[in-house]
Amino acid sequence: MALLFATTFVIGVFGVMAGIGGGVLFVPLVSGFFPFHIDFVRGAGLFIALGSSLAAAPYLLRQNLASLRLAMPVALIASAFSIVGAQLGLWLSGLNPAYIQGALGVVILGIAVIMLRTPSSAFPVVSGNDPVAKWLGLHGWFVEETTGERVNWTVHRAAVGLSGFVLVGLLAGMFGLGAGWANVPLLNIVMGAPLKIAVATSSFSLSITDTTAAWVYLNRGAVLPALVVPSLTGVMLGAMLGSRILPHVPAFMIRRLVIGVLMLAGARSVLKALGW
Amino acid sequence: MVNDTQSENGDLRVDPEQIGYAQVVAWGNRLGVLVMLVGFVGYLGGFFPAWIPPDTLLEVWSLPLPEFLAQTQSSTGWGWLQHLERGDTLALLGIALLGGVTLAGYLLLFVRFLGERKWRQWGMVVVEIALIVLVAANWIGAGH
Repeated sequence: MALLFATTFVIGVFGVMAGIGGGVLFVPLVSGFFPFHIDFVRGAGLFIALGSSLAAAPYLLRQNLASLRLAMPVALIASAFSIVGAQLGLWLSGLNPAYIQGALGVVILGIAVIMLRTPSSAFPVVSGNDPVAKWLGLHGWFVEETTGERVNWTVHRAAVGLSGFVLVGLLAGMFGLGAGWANVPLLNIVMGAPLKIAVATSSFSLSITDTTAAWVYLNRGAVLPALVVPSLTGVMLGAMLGSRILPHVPAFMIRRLVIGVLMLAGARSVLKALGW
Repeated sequence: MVNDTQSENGDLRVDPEQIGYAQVVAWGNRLGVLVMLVGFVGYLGGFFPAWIPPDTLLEVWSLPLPEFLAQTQSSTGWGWLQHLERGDTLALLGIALLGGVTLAGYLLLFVRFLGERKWRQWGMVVVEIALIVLVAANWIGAGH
């Protein structure tokens, strides 16, 4: 349990510094290298993503960096499909745990490639005439700290972007992953939200998205306090340390390191599924 | 013009429902983490009785879920609520409270948006509340 705490502490430190949260590192690493059954690891992964998001949400909401208006439709779609994903994941695992372990490995390798190749834009150019965005009131403002000025924002391609959260919800529920790796590109690149809004809203919306899938695992008896409590505590404390040392380390190098770890963990999951 | 930078700061008040939601989340998270830690420390330290003793847990945590439930005589759904005197179950209550924080926040939004007649946002809140309640009550997602 001490090793689990130490591992999740390191995951928390690097997860924050790489800007992906802890869940996406936790599930492949712990399911690949610890003796827990993958069902318990996925259940714990959801509560880790949920707990980390709840801890960050009040600050982000009060600073108006996370947008409740933007998070509500995003999270509604993702949370509905995370229930389907959780059901599908538990069903596949019941057939043969190797199916879900192998699929997890492939998804993690895919996430590493997405992180490696996806660009980001601090202030995307947005047309402002999107009818869905207007109808849902998907706009807001935040204060840019470096200049102290108020920045107004809205989004476009809302229908396309929101439909992407169907897949995000499915994967989050199926594998117990936080979905920051997918939320941020969808909000920033596809929908055109400023990067700060995309990152903060993604971080906050996980608390809503993962709630429904987390209840599926909890009701099925797939949540072990002995796995969740040390892991969640480790990730939260690690994230606190990571956020403090973040300004003093080259974020680019950390991100590359985390991508390397994801590739290793993904490969390990695939190999474990193949019985190697 | 969108995503523009204004020279004057204008109105910098955050939406009141967003501030209210943040407060609910902050207090709910504290409560959940506190109950979770009290239960777990009591479980590990032997201050509370255990549903699955730590020594036994080492032998069963790698088992597939149906076998784990059978061997530990653990219940699914809300059956664990009857055993809150046990440390590991109390920790599970804390974890479940974390799973209820979003619902508490959305109940606040339900009232606020209804009062302000923001029907689109209110509709989304109603559907989200329904989803969480249905899945938490084990009415959907219960499986076999």
